[in-house]
Amino acid sequence: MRHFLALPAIIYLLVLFYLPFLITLLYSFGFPGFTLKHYSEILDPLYLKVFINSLILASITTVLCFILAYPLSYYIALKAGKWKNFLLLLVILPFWISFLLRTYAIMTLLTPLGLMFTFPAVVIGMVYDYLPFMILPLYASLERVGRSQIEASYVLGAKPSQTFLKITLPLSKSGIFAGVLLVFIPALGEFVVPTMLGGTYATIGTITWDLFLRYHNWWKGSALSVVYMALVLLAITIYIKRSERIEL
Amino acid sequence: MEGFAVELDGVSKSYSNFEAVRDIKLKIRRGEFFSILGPSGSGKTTILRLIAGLLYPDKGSIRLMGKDVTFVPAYKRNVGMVFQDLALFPHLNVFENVAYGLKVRKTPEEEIKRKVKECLEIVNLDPEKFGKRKINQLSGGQQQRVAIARALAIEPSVLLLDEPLGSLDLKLRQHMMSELKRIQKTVKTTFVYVTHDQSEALIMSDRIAVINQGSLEQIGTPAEIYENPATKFVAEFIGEMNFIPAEVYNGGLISEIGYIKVSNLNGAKRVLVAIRPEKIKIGCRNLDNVYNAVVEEVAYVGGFLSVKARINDFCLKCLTSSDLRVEENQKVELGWRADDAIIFEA
Repeated sequence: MRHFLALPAIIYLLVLFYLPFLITLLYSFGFPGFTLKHYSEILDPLYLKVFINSLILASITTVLCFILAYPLSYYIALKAGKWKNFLLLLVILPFWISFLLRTYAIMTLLTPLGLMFTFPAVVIGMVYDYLPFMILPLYASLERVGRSQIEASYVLGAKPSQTFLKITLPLSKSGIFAGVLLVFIPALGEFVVPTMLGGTYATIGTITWDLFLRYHNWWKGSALSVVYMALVLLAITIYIKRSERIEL
Repeated sequence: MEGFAVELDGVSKSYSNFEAVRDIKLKIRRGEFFSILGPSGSGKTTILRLIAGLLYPDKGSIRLMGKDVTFVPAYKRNVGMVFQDLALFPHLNVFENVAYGLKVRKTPEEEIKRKVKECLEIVNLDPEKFGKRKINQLSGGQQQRVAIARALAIEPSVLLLDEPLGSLDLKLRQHMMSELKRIQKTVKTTFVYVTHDQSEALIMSDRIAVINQGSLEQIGTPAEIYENPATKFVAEFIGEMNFIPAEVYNGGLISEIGYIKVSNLNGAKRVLVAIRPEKIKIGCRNLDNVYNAVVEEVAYVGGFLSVKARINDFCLKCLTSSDLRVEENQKVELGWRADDAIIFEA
Protein backbone atom coordinates (compact mmCIF):
# COMPACT_ATOMS: atom_id res chain seq x y z
CA MET A 1 0.00 0.00 0.00
CA ARG A 2 2.66 2.53 -0.92
CA HIS A 3 -0.01 4.62 -2.67
CA PHE A 4 -1.92 5.44 0.48
CA LEU A 5 0.23 8.55 1.06
CA ALA A 6 -1.27 10.13 -2.03
CA LEU A 7 -4.77 8.92 -1.42
CA PRO A 8 -6.30 11.61 0.84
CA ALA A 9 -5.40 14.44 -1.51
CA ILE A 10 -6.38 12.46 -4.58
CA ILE A 11 -9.81 11.70 -3.14
CA TYR A 12 -10.20 15.33 -2.14
CA LEU A 13 -9.38 16.53 -5.66
CA LEU A 14 -11.50 13.83 -7.31
CA VAL A 15 -14.59 14.66 -5.30
CA LEU A 16 -14.22 18.42 -5.27
CA PHE A 17 -12.60 19.18 -8.60
CA TYR A 18 -12.52 16.41 -11.21
CA LEU A 19 -16.02 15.14 -10.57
CA PRO A 20 -17.52 18.66 -10.76
CA PHE A 21 -15.44 19.28 -13.85
CA LEU A 22 -16.93 16.16 -15.43
CA ILE A 23 -20.37 17.56 -14.65
CA THR A 24 -19.35 20.86 -16.24
CA LEU A 25 -18.20 18.93 -19.30
CA LEU A 26 -21.56 17.14 -19.47
CA TYR A 27 -23.46 20.41 -19.15
CA SER A 28 -21.39 21.99 -21.90
CA PHE A 29 -22.72 19.31 -24.26
CA GLY A 30 -26.29 20.14 -23.29
CA PHE A 31 -26.97 17.74 -20.41
CA PRO A 32 -29.40 15.95 -20.12
CA GLY A 33 -29.55 15.89 -23.92
CA PHE A 34 -26.68 16.27 -26.36
CA THR A 35 -25.94 19.30 -28.51
CA LEU A 36 -22.95 21.31 -29.74
CA LYS A 37 -24.86 24.54 -29.98
CA HIS A 38 -23.37 26.01 -26.79
CA TYR A 39 -19.93 25.64 -28.27
CA SER A 40 -20.96 27.20 -31.57
CA GLU A 41 -22.40 30.14 -29.63
CA ILE A 42 -19.07 30.64 -27.90
CA LEU A 43 -17.43 31.20 -31.29
CA ASP A 44 -19.37 34.45 -31.47
CA PRO A 45 -17.05 37.52 -31.99
CA LEU A 46 -18.43 38.88 -28.73
CA TYR A 47 -16.80 36.04 -26.80
CA LEU A 48 -13.63 36.32 -28.85
CA LYS A 49 -13.44 39.92 -27.67
CA VAL A 50 -13.79 38.71 -24.07
CA PHE A 51 -10.97 36.20 -24.58
CA ILE A 52 -8.76 38.93 -26.03
CA ASN A 53 -9.66 41.24 -23.14
CA SER A 54 -8.56 38.59 -20.65
CA LEU A 55 -5.38 37.90 -22.58
CA ILE A 56 -4.48 41.60 -22.66
CA LEU A 57 -5.20 42.05 -18.96
CA ALA A 58 -3.24 38.94 -17.96
CA SER A 59 -0.30 39.91 -20.20
CA ILE A 60 -0.11 43.47 -18.92
CA THR A 61 -0.37 42.22 -15.34
CA THR A 62 2.39 39.68 -15.89
CA VAL A 63 4.73 42.12 -17.59
CA LEU A 64 4.19 44.83 -14.97
CA CYS A 65 4.65 42.35 -12.12
CA PHE A 66 7.89 41.17 -13.74
CA ILE A 67 9.23 44.69 -14.23
CA LEU A 68 8.46 45.59 -10.62
CA ALA A 69 9.48 42.27 -9.09
CA TYR A 70 12.81 41.56 -10.78
CA PRO A 71 14.80 44.51 -9.40
CA LEU A 72 13.34 43.99 -5.94
CA SER A 73 14.04 40.24 -5.98
CA TYR A 74 17.56 40.97 -7.19
CA TYR A 75 18.05 43.44 -4.40
CA ILE A 76 16.69 41.12 -1.71
CA ALA A 77 18.66 38.10 -2.93
CA LEU A 78 22.00 39.73 -3.63
CA LYS A 79 22.25 43.16 -2.03
CA ALA A 80 20.11 43.32 1.08
CA GLY A 81 22.51 41.49 3.41
CA LYS A 82 21.10 41.33 6.91
CA TRP A 83 17.83 42.98 5.83
CA LYS A 84 17.00 40.03 3.58
CA ASN A 85 14.59 38.21 5.88
CA PHE A 86 12.88 41.41 6.95
CA LEU A 87 12.27 42.43 3.33
CA LEU A 88 10.95 38.97 2.50
CA LEU A 89 8.57 39.31 5.40
CA LEU A 90 7.32 42.63 3.99
CA VAL A 91 6.68 40.91 0.67
CA ILE A 92 4.74 38.06 2.27
CA LEU A 93 2.88 40.26 4.73
CA PRO A 94 -0.01 41.21 2.37
CA PHE A 95 -0.82 37.48 2.11
CA TRP A 96 -1.93 37.58 5.71
CA ILE A 97 -4.84 39.76 4.70
CA SER A 98 -7.64 38.14 2.74
CA PHE A 99 -7.49 38.66 -1.00
CA LEU A 100 -11.00 40.07 -1.01
CA LEU A 101 -10.26 42.51 1.80
CA ARG A 102 -7.16 43.75 0.02
CA THR A 103 -9.20 44.41 -3.10
CA TYR A 104 -11.81 46.30 -1.08
CA ALA A 105 -8.98 48.26 0.53
CA ILE A 106 -7.60 49.33 -2.82
CA MET A 107 -11.07 50.54 -3.85
CA THR A 108 -10.89 53.15 -1.11
CA LEU A 109 -7.51 54.21 -2.43
CA LEU A 110 -8.62 54.40 -6.06
CA THR A 111 -11.88 56.25 -5.48
CA PRO A 112 -10.35 59.62 -4.46
CA LEU A 113 -8.04 59.35 -7.50
CA GLY A 114 -11.07 59.09 -9.73
CA LEU A 115 -9.78 55.86 -11.21
CA MET A 116 -12.56 53.54 -10.17
CA PHE A 117 -14.21 51.45 -12.91
CA THR A 118 -11.46 52.12 -15.45
CA PHE A 119 -9.01 49.78 -17.10
CA PRO A 120 -6.02 51.25 -15.18
CA ALA A 121 -7.87 50.51 -11.95
CA VAL A 122 -8.16 46.85 -12.93
CA VAL A 123 -4.45 46.71 -13.81
CA ILE A 124 -3.41 48.40 -10.58
CA GLY A 125 -5.57 45.99 -8.60
CA MET A 126 -4.26 42.94 -10.47
CA VAL A 127 -0.59 43.90 -9.99
CA TYR A 128 -1.32 44.66 -6.34
CA ASP A 129 -2.70 41.17 -5.79
CA TYR A 130 -0.28 39.17 -7.91
CA LEU A 131 3.06 40.87 -7.27
CA PRO A 132 4.18 38.52 -4.45
CA PHE A 133 3.63 35.50 -6.73
CA MET A 134 6.25 36.96 -9.06
CA ILE A 135 8.67 38.13 -6.38
CA LEU A 136 8.99 34.86 -4.47
CA PRO A 137 10.05 32.52 -7.31
CA LEU A 138 12.34 35.20 -8.75
CA TYR A 139 13.92 35.68 -5.35
CA ALA A 140 14.41 31.93 -4.92
CA SER A 141 16.18 31.60 -8.27
CA LEU A 142 18.36 34.69 -7.81
CA GLU A 143 19.29 33.50 -4.36
CA ARG A 144 20.70 30.36 -5.96
CA VAL A 145 22.72 32.31 -8.52
CA GLY A 146 24.92 33.34 -5.63
CA ARG A 147 27.40 36.14 -5.54
CA SER A 148 30.44 34.21 -6.66
CA GLN A 149 29.24 33.57 -10.24
CA ILE A 150 28.56 37.27 -10.60
CA GLU A 151 31.96 38.10 -9.17
CA ALA A 152 33.62 35.53 -11.40
CA SER A 153 32.09 37.32 -14.35
CA TYR A 154 33.46 40.69 -13.19
CA VAL A 155 36.94 39.29 -12.66
CA LEU A 156 36.82 37.78 -16.14
CA GLY A 157 36.33 41.28 -17.49
CA ALA A 158 32.56 41.57 -17.93
CA LYS A 159 31.05 44.94 -17.06
CA PRO A 160 28.06 44.90 -14.68
CA SER A 161 25.63 45.23 -17.62
CA GLN A 162 27.28 42.36 -19.51
CA THR A 163 27.30 40.27 -16.34
CA PHE A 164 23.60 40.83 -15.87
CA LEU A 165 22.69 39.86 -19.42
CA LYS A 166 25.03 36.89 -19.73
CA ILE A 167 25.00 35.43 -16.22
CA THR A 168 22.37 36.72 -13.81
CA LEU A 169 19.41 36.81 -16.18
CA PRO A 170 19.99 33.36 -17.76
CA LEU A 171 20.62 31.81 -14.34
CA SER A 172 17.36 33.17 -12.96
CA LYS A 173 15.39 31.75 -15.88
CA SER A 174 13.71 29.06 -13.79
CA GLY A 175 12.37 31.76 -11.45
CA ILE A 176 11.11 33.85 -14.37
CA PHE A 177 9.41 30.77 -15.76
CA ALA A 178 7.70 29.92 -12.47
CA GLY A 179 6.77 33.53 -11.73
CA VAL A 180 5.20 34.04 -15.16
CA LEU A 181 3.15 30.87 -14.81
CA LEU A 182 2.03 31.72 -11.29
CA VAL A 183 0.86 35.18 -12.32
CA PHE A 184 -0.37 34.70 -15.88
CA ILE A 185 -2.64 31.71 -15.39
CA PRO A 186 -4.68 32.93 -12.43
CA ALA A 187 -4.71 36.42 -13.94
CA LEU A 188 -6.26 35.02 -17.11
CA GLY A 189 -9.21 33.58 -15.23
CA GLU A 190 -9.46 36.36 -12.64
CA PHE A 191 -12.93 37.74 -12.07
CA VAL A 192 -12.96 39.37 -8.63
CA VAL A 193 -10.67 42.28 -9.47
CA PRO A 194 -12.24 43.14 -12.86
CA THR A 195 -15.72 42.89 -11.32
CA MET A 196 -14.96 45.04 -8.31
CA LEU A 197 -12.68 47.61 -9.89
CA GLY A 198 -13.45 47.46 -13.59
CA GLY A 199 -17.20 47.81 -13.83
CA THR A 200 -17.90 46.84 -17.39
CA TYR A 201 -14.49 45.47 -18.35
CA ALA A 202 -15.51 41.96 -19.39
CA THR A 203 -13.10 39.06 -18.97
CA ILE A 204 -13.58 35.32 -19.20
CA GLY A 205 -13.95 35.29 -15.45
CA THR A 206 -16.65 37.93 -15.24
CA ILE A 207 -18.60 36.50 -18.20
CA THR A 208 -18.48 32.98 -16.75
CA TRP A 209 -19.74 34.38 -13.47
CA ASP A 210 -22.55 36.20 -15.26
CA LEU A 211 -23.56 33.16 -17.29
CA PHE A 212 -23.76 30.91 -14.27
CA LEU A 213 -25.07 33.20 -11.60
CA ARG A 214 -26.90 36.00 -13.32
CA TYR A 215 -28.44 34.31 -16.37
CA HIS A 216 -28.43 30.79 -14.91
CA ASN A 217 -27.26 29.51 -18.27
CA TRP A 218 -25.23 26.60 -16.93
CA TRP A 219 -24.83 25.05 -20.37
CA LYS A 220 -23.24 28.03 -22.04
CA GLY A 221 -21.22 28.84 -18.90
CA SER A 222 -19.92 25.27 -18.89
CA ALA A 223 -18.97 25.45 -22.56
CA LEU A 224 -17.09 28.68 -21.92
CA SER A 225 -15.27 27.13 -18.95
CA VAL A 226 -14.25 24.10 -20.98
CA VAL A 227 -12.93 26.21 -23.84
CA TYR A 228 -11.05 28.36 -21.37
CA MET A 229 -9.51 25.30 -19.69
CA ALA A 230 -8.48 23.90 -23.07
CA LEU A 231 -6.85 27.18 -24.09
CA VAL A 232 -4.90 27.50 -20.81
CA LEU A 233 -3.75 23.91 -21.11
CA LEU A 234 -2.59 24.55 -24.65
CA ALA A 235 -0.83 27.78 -23.69
CA ILE A 236 0.99 26.14 -20.76
CA THR A 237 2.04 23.18 -22.87
CA ILE A 238 3.53 25.44 -25.52
CA TYR A 239 5.20 27.58 -22.87
CA ILE A 240 6.77 24.61 -21.07
CA LYS A 241 7.93 23.04 -24.33
CA ARG A 242 9.58 26.28 -25.42
CA SER A 243 11.20 26.84 -22.03
CA GLU A 244 12.62 23.33 -22.06
CA ARG A 245 14.26 24.08 -25.36
CA ILE A 246 15.95 27.22 -24.01
CA GLU A 247 17.01 25.08 -21.04
CA LEU A 248 16.59 26.11 -17.47
CA MET B 1 60.81 39.21 -15.79
CA GLU B 2 61.91 41.95 -13.43
CA GLY B 3 59.70 43.75 -10.96
CA PHE B 4 56.67 42.83 -8.94
CA ALA B 5 53.36 41.42 -10.11
CA VAL B 6 51.47 42.52 -6.99
CA GLU B 7 52.37 45.15 -4.43
CA LEU B 8 50.26 45.90 -1.38
CA ASP B 9 51.37 48.92 0.57
CA GLY B 10 49.88 49.43 4.02
CA VAL B 11 46.53 47.99 3.03
CA SER B 12 43.77 47.90 5.65
CA LYS B 13 40.14 46.87 5.27
CA SER B 14 37.40 46.93 7.88
CA TYR B 15 33.90 45.54 7.76
CA SER B 16 31.20 47.24 9.77
CA ASN B 17 32.48 46.05 13.12
CA PHE B 18 35.86 44.43 12.72
CA GLU B 19 39.16 44.96 10.99
CA ALA B 20 39.63 42.15 8.46
CA VAL B 21 43.18 43.08 7.42
CA ARG B 22 45.53 45.59 8.96
CA ASP B 23 48.48 47.38 7.39
CA ILE B 24 49.47 44.62 4.97
CA LYS B 25 52.71 45.12 3.05
CA LEU B 26 53.40 42.53 0.39
CA LYS B 27 55.52 42.39 -2.72
CA ILE B 28 54.86 39.40 -4.92
CA ARG B 29 57.46 38.80 -7.63
CA ARG B 30 56.56 38.14 -11.22
CA GLY B 31 56.31 34.46 -12.06
CA GLU B 32 56.36 33.40 -8.45
CA PHE B 33 54.14 30.81 -6.74
CA PHE B 34 53.14 32.79 -3.67
CA SER B 35 50.94 31.46 -0.90
CA ILE B 36 48.97 33.35 1.69
CA LEU B 37 48.62 31.00 4.63
CA GLY B 38 46.50 31.50 7.72
CA PRO B 39 43.73 29.99 9.82
CA SER B 40 40.13 30.57 8.76
CA GLY B 41 39.00 34.08 9.50
CA SER B 42 42.54 35.43 9.39
CA GLY B 43 41.77 37.78 6.50
CA LYS B 44 43.54 35.91 3.72
CA THR B 45 40.52 35.77 1.44
CA THR B 46 40.00 39.50 2.01
CA ILE B 47 43.53 40.11 0.72
CA LEU B 48 42.75 38.09 -2.39
CA ARG B 49 39.52 39.98 -2.98
CA LEU B 50 41.36 43.27 -2.58
CA ILE B 51 43.85 42.20 -5.25
CA ALA B 52 41.00 41.08 -7.53
CA GLY B 53 39.16 44.38 -7.12
CA LEU B 54 36.10 42.80 -5.56
CA LEU B 55 36.83 44.95 -2.51
CA TYR B 56 38.48 48.33 -2.18
CA PRO B 57 40.82 49.04 0.75
CA ASP B 58 40.10 51.67 3.41
CA LYS B 59 43.78 52.57 3.59
CA GLY B 60 46.87 51.85 1.53
CA SER B 61 47.43 51.19 -2.15
CA ILE B 62 47.53 48.22 -4.49
CA ARG B 63 49.70 47.92 -7.58
CA LEU B 64 49.45 45.30 -10.29
CA MET B 65 52.41 44.96 -12.69
CA GLY B 66 53.61 48.32 -11.45
CA LYS B 67 50.33 50.15 -12.12
CA ASP B 68 48.21 51.59 -9.33
CA VAL B 69 44.84 49.81 -9.35
CA THR B 70 43.68 50.60 -5.82
CA PHE B 71 40.22 51.72 -6.93
CA VAL B 72 40.04 50.14 -10.39
CA PRO B 73 36.97 47.85 -10.64
CA ALA B 74 37.50 44.11 -11.00
CA TYR B 75 36.44 43.99 -14.65
CA LYS B 76 39.25 46.34 -15.68
CA ARG B 77 42.09 44.62 -13.80
CA ASN B 78 42.76 41.58 -15.94
CA VAL B 79 43.42 39.20 -13.08
CA GLY B 80 42.42 35.54 -13.06
CA MET B 81 40.63 34.05 -10.10
CA VAL B 82 39.75 30.51 -9.14
CA PHE B 83 37.00 30.75 -6.56
CA GLN B 84 36.63 28.51 -3.55
CA ASP B 85 33.31 27.18 -4.89
CA LEU B 86 34.75 27.47 -8.45
CA ALA B 87 31.80 29.65 -9.53
CA LEU B 88 31.57 28.00 -12.94
CA PHE B 89 28.62 29.06 -15.07
CA PRO B 90 26.16 26.13 -15.01
CA HIS B 91 24.20 27.35 -18.04
CA LEU B 92 27.28 27.34 -20.27
CA ASN B 93 29.27 24.34 -21.47
CA VAL B 94 32.99 23.84 -20.88
CA PHE B 95 34.04 25.65 -24.04
CA GLU B 96 31.74 28.62 -23.33
CA ASN B 97 32.95 28.83 -19.73
CA VAL B 98 36.58 29.05 -20.80
CA ALA B 99 35.73 31.39 -23.66
CA TYR B 100 33.70 33.76 -21.46
CA GLY B 101 36.48 36.20 -20.59
CA LEU B 102 37.59 36.37 -24.23
CA LYS B 103 34.01 36.81 -25.50
CA VAL B 104 33.39 39.84 -23.30
CA ARG B 105 36.68 41.27 -24.58
CA LYS B 106 35.31 40.89 -28.12
CA THR B 107 38.22 38.67 -29.14
CA PRO B 108 37.84 37.37 -32.73
CA GLU B 109 36.12 33.96 -32.97
CA GLU B 110 39.16 32.15 -34.42
CA GLU B 111 41.42 33.50 -31.70
CA ILE B 112 38.92 32.38 -29.02
CA LYS B 113 38.82 28.85 -30.41
CA ARG B 114 42.59 28.61 -30.48
CA LYS B 115 43.00 30.06 -27.01
CA VAL B 116 40.31 27.88 -25.38
CA LYS B 117 41.85 24.76 -26.94
CA GLU B 118 45.27 25.78 -25.68
CA CYS B 119 44.03 26.43 -22.13
CA LEU B 120 42.08 23.19 -21.93
CA GLU B 121 45.19 21.34 -23.06
CA ILE B 122 47.29 23.07 -20.41
CA VAL B 123 44.96 21.77 -17.69
CA ASN B 124 44.89 18.32 -19.33
CA LEU B 125 41.30 18.29 -20.54
CA ASP B 126 40.76 17.01 -24.06
CA PRO B 127 39.02 19.93 -25.87
CA GLU B 128 37.30 17.54 -28.32
CA LYS B 129 35.94 15.32 -25.59
CA PHE B 130 35.01 17.91 -22.97
CA GLY B 131 34.31 21.12 -24.87
CA LYS B 132 30.58 20.45 -25.33
CA ARG B 133 30.00 18.99 -21.87
CA LYS B 134 27.83 20.69 -19.31
CA ILE B 135 29.46 21.65 -16.03
CA ASN B 136 27.27 19.25 -14.04
CA GLN B 137 28.49 16.38 -16.21
CA LEU B 138 32.03 16.79 -14.88
CA SER B 139 33.71 15.32 -11.82
CA GLY B 140 35.01 17.58 -9.05
CA GLY B 141 38.57 17.39 -10.37
CA GLN B 142 37.49 18.16 -13.92
CA GLN B 143 35.48 21.16 -12.75
CA GLN B 144 38.60 22.38 -10.98
CA ARG B 145 40.52 22.17 -14.24
CA VAL B 146 37.83 24.09 -16.13
CA ALA B 147 37.92 26.83 -13.49
CA ILE B 148 41.70 27.13 -13.88
CA ALA B 149 41.50 27.10 -17.68
CA ARG B 150 38.81 29.80 -17.61
CA ALA B 151 40.97 32.01 -15.40
CA LEU B 152 44.08 31.46 -17.55
CA ALA B 153 42.33 32.09 -20.87
CA ILE B 154 42.39 35.87 -20.43
CA GLU B 155 46.18 35.76 -19.91
CA PRO B 156 45.88 37.38 -16.49
CA SER B 157 48.69 39.40 -14.97
CA VAL B 158 48.23 37.29 -11.85
CA LEU B 159 46.22 34.18 -11.06
CA LEU B 160 44.47 34.22 -7.68
CA LEU B 161 43.42 30.91 -6.17
CA ASP B 162 41.10 30.88 -3.17
CA GLU B 163 41.47 27.51 -1.43
CA PRO B 164 40.58 25.72 -4.64
CA LEU B 165 41.43 22.25 -3.36
CA GLY B 166 39.38 22.38 -0.18
CA SER B 167 36.54 20.25 -1.48
CA LEU B 168 38.66 17.44 -2.92
CA ASP B 169 39.59 14.19 -1.19
CA LEU B 170 43.20 13.63 -0.10
CA LYS B 171 44.42 11.63 -3.12
CA LEU B 172 42.90 14.00 -5.65
CA ARG B 173 44.20 16.97 -3.68
CA GLN B 174 47.75 15.68 -3.78
CA HIS B 175 47.42 15.06 -7.49
CA MET B 176 46.01 18.55 -8.11
CA MET B 177 48.86 20.08 -6.10
CA SER B 178 51.45 18.70 -8.46
CA GLU B 179 49.20 19.62 -11.39
CA LEU B 180 49.00 23.23 -10.20
CA LYS B 181 52.77 23.34 -9.89
CA ARG B 182 53.14 21.92 -13.39
CA ILE B 183 50.61 24.38 -14.83
CA GLN B 184 52.39 27.26 -13.15
CA LYS B 185 55.71 26.19 -14.66
CA THR B 186 54.06 25.91 -18.09
CA VAL B 187 52.30 29.27 -18.17
CA LYS B 188 54.86 31.16 -16.01
CA THR B 189 52.06 33.34 -14.61
CA THR B 190 52.29 34.66 -11.06
CA PHE B 191 50.15 32.48 -8.79
CA VAL B 192 48.77 33.81 -5.52
CA TYR B 193 47.40 30.88 -3.58
CA VAL B 194 45.29 31.27 -0.47
CA THR B 195 45.05 28.32 1.89
CA HIS B 196 44.69 27.33 5.52
CA ASP B 197 46.48 24.06 4.79
CA GLN B 198 50.15 24.39 5.66
CA SER B 199 51.19 21.30 3.72
CA GLU B 200 49.70 22.72 0.49
CA ALA B 201 51.57 25.96 1.05
CA LEU B 202 54.87 24.31 1.98
CA ILE B 203 54.84 21.89 -0.95
CA MET B 204 53.86 24.27 -3.75
CA SER B 205 55.10 27.72 -2.88
CA ASP B 206 58.21 29.66 -3.75
CA ARG B 207 57.36 31.99 -0.89
CA ILE B 208 54.70 32.08 1.81
CA ALA B 209 53.10 34.92 3.73
CA VAL B 210 51.67 33.81 7.06
CA ILE B 211 48.64 35.84 8.14
CA ASN B 212 47.03 35.89 11.56
CA GLN B 213 44.10 38.03 12.71
CA GLY B 214 44.46 40.33 9.73
CA SER B 215 48.16 41.00 10.18
CA LEU B 216 51.23 39.73 8.43
CA GLU B 217 53.31 37.48 10.68
CA GLN B 218 56.12 36.48 8.34
CA ILE B 219 57.09 36.25 4.69
CA GLY B 220 59.66 33.74 3.53
CA THR B 221 60.47 30.58 1.64
CA PRO B 222 58.87 27.40 2.99
CA ALA B 223 62.22 26.41 4.54
CA GLU B 224 62.71 29.81 6.19
CA ILE B 225 59.25 29.77 7.66
CA TYR B 226 59.60 26.24 8.92
CA GLU B 227 63.16 26.48 10.22
CA ASN B 228 63.13 30.07 11.48
CA PRO B 229 59.62 31.09 12.45
CA ALA B 230 59.61 34.77 13.27
CA THR B 231 56.80 34.64 15.80
CA LYS B 232 55.34 32.15 18.20
CA PHE B 233 52.19 32.03 16.06
CA VAL B 234 54.14 30.96 12.97
CA ALA B 235 56.05 28.36 14.98
CA GLU B 236 52.83 26.91 16.28
CA PHE B 237 50.81 27.15 13.07
CA ILE B 238 53.37 25.58 10.74
CA GLY B 239 54.17 21.99 11.62
CA GLU B 240 54.33 20.52 15.08
CA MET B 241 56.16 22.32 17.84
CA ASN B 242 56.98 21.76 21.53
CA PHE B 243 56.96 24.89 23.67
CA ILE B 244 58.79 24.78 27.01
CA PRO B 245 58.30 27.80 29.30
CA ALA B 246 61.59 28.77 30.93
CA GLU B 247 63.34 31.49 32.89
CA VAL B 248 66.77 32.91 32.24
CA TYR B 249 69.33 31.79 34.79
CA ASN B 250 73.07 32.16 34.62
CA GLY B 251 73.32 32.43 30.83
CA GLY B 252 71.11 29.38 30.47
CA LEU B 253 67.52 28.50 31.11
CA ILE B 254 65.70 26.88 33.98
CA SER B 255 62.47 25.07 33.22
CA GLU B 256 60.19 22.32 34.41
CA ILE B 257 62.35 19.72 32.68
CA GLY B 258 65.56 21.13 34.16
CA TYR B 259 68.39 23.21 32.82
CA ILE B 260 68.28 24.00 29.08
CA LYS B 261 71.33 25.04 27.18
CA VAL B 262 70.61 27.42 24.30
CA SER B 263 72.86 29.11 21.78
CA ASN B 264 71.55 32.66 21.94
CA LEU B 265 69.40 34.59 24.32
CA ASN B 266 67.73 37.82 23.34
CA GLY B 267 67.67 39.49 26.76
CA ALA B 268 64.17 38.51 27.79
CA LYS B 269 63.65 37.27 31.30
CA ARG B 270 60.90 34.75 30.65
CA VAL B 271 61.04 32.81 27.41
CA LEU B 272 59.51 29.92 25.47
CA VAL B 273 61.88 27.31 24.10
CA ALA B 274 60.46 25.93 20.87
CA ILE B 275 61.72 22.64 19.56
CA ARG B 276 60.42 20.59 16.61
CA PRO B 277 59.51 16.95 17.35
CA GLU B 278 61.91 15.67 14.69
CA LYS B 279 64.82 17.59 16.25
CA ILE B 280 64.49 15.60 19.47
CA LYS B 281 66.72 12.55 19.30
CA ILE B 282 65.89 9.49 21.38
CA GLY B 283 68.72 7.33 22.73
CA CYS B 284 71.44 9.76 21.82
CA ARG B 285 73.91 11.16 24.34
CA ASN B 286 76.36 13.48 22.63
CA LEU B 287 73.90 16.40 22.51
CA ASP B 288 73.86 19.79 24.26
CA ASN B 289 70.72 18.89 26.17
CA VAL B 290 70.06 15.35 27.38
CA TYR B 291 67.21 14.29 29.71
CA ASN B 292 65.85 11.13 31.22
CA ALA B 293 62.32 10.52 30.05
CA VAL B 294 59.53 7.95 30.17
CA VAL B 295 57.71 6.98 26.98
CA GLU B 296 53.97 7.63 27.39
CA GLU B 297 52.57 6.89 23.99
CA VAL B 298 53.86 5.49 20.72
CA ALA B 299 51.98 5.83 17.43
CA TYR B 300 53.14 4.46 14.11
CA VAL B 301 52.77 7.05 11.33
CA GLY B 302 54.02 5.36 8.19
CA GLY B 303 57.80 5.14 8.38
CA PHE B 304 57.95 7.27 11.50
CA LEU B 305 57.08 6.86 15.12
CA SER B 306 55.29 9.66 16.88
CA VAL B 307 56.40 9.40 20.49
CA LYS B 308 55.08 11.25 23.51
CA ALA B 309 57.70 11.28 26.25
CA ARG B 310 57.47 12.68 29.78
CA ILE B 311 60.32 14.47 31.50
CA ASN B 312 59.27 14.98 35.12
CA ASP B 313 55.68 16.09 34.47
CA PHE B 314 56.31 17.79 31.15
CA CYS B 315 55.25 16.05 27.95
CA LEU B 316 57.23 16.37 24.71
CA LYS B 317 56.25 15.22 21.23
CA CYS B 318 59.06 13.49 19.34
CA LEU B 319 59.22 12.14 15.83
CA THR B 320 61.70 9.40 15.15
CA SER B 321 62.49 6.75 12.57
CA SER B 322 60.44 3.60 13.01
CA ASP B 323 63.67 1.58 12.97
CA LEU B 324 64.01 2.57 16.58
CA ARG B 325 62.40 0.18 19.06
CA VAL B 326 60.56 2.09 21.77
CA GLU B 327 57.68 0.91 23.86
CA GLU B 328 55.30 2.53 26.25
CA ASN B 329 56.63 3.02 29.78
CA GLN B 330 60.19 2.46 28.56
CA LYS B 331 62.83 4.70 30.14
CA VAL B 332 64.85 6.54 27.51
CA GLU B 333 67.37 9.30 27.19
CA LEU B 334 66.47 12.07 24.78
CA GLY B 335 67.82 15.43 23.84
CA TRP B 336 68.63 18.04 21.20
CA ARG B 337 71.33 20.35 20.00
CA ALA B 338 71.25 23.89 21.38
CA ASP B 339 71.14 25.25 17.80
CA ASP B 340 67.90 23.40 17.04
CA ALA B 341 65.84 25.24 19.63
CA ILE B 342 64.18 28.58 18.89
CA ILE B 343 63.64 31.10 21.65
CA PHE B 344 60.57 33.32 21.89
CA GLU B 345 59.77 35.92 24.48
CA ALA B 346 57.06 34.57 26.74
